[in-house]
Amino acid sequence: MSVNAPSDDALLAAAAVGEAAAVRILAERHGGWLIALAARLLGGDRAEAEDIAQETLLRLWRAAPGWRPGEAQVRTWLYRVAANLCTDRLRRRGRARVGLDAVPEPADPAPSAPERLQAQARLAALDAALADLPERQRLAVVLRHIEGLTNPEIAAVMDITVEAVESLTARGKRALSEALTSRRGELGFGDD
Amino acid sequence: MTDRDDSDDRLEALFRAARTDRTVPPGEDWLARVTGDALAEAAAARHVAPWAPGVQLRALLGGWRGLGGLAAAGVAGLVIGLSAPDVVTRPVDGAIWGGVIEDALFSDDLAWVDLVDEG
Repeated sequence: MSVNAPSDDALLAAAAVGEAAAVRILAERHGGWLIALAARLLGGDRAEAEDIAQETLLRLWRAAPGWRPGEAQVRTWLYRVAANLCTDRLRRRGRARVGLDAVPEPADPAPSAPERLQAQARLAALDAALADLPERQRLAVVLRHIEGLTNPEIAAVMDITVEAVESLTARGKRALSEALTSRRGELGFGDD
Repeated sequence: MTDRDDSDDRLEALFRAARTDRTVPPGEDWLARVTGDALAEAAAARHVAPWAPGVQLRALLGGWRGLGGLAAAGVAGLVIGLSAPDVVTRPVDGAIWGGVIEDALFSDDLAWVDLVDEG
């Protein structure tokens, strides 16, 4: 966001009274990362992730008339709602796991785009390993290492202490490392 | 470099790739749906009755029936309050200063007390 860009609070106040331009800016500003976050937490289903992102923003529109500027960060609020919606969705469907074994082996790289295919395989492996983590570890790791939130921000999103965040991310990373180590050759990490 | 360091480096490389991957812009269809949601919510909020103290108070007190009961109780309280001095203080005044208590203390009905004292 540039220095002159309107704040989320200002846009939300305008959205509350039906200013379409403000709604559009908010949706563009937050839609991309919300969809990506939901896709990562739900195991990669883009359509389902778009539903979650839409529902998250719908709750924001409903909260807009009573929103108190400066009291809560819109972004943090969205993280919390999206994470809760993903958790509910996973519980409802019995958390269809995408285990490491379900991830396809990396395709034979086409000469024209070997790096791209390898990158896709690595991301698929990461998503699969994330899906195998316990719910709260997965959320903490995604928020810390992919979304780039600070530990206090994650603590606010997850409603836990900073120490609990540190513990969850440490255990999550350890589990991811162990899960991915066995595939380091096929994912192009060699024997380093 | 230790195995742990190698493992951390590999994981960090994956996180870097994931961070790059996450910036996929939403499509026009999705933006149109989301915008439609927001405008519908704003329109619905406009149709909700604006803040009106009388309406809010009436709802808080249980509607017209609650307000009727409250008014009746208020009137009853007022009537009792205005008539209370006549009803309550006058008998007490009479009891203390009008000789009722004095009469009771020195009446013949208590003469037996004197007889007991005299043994």
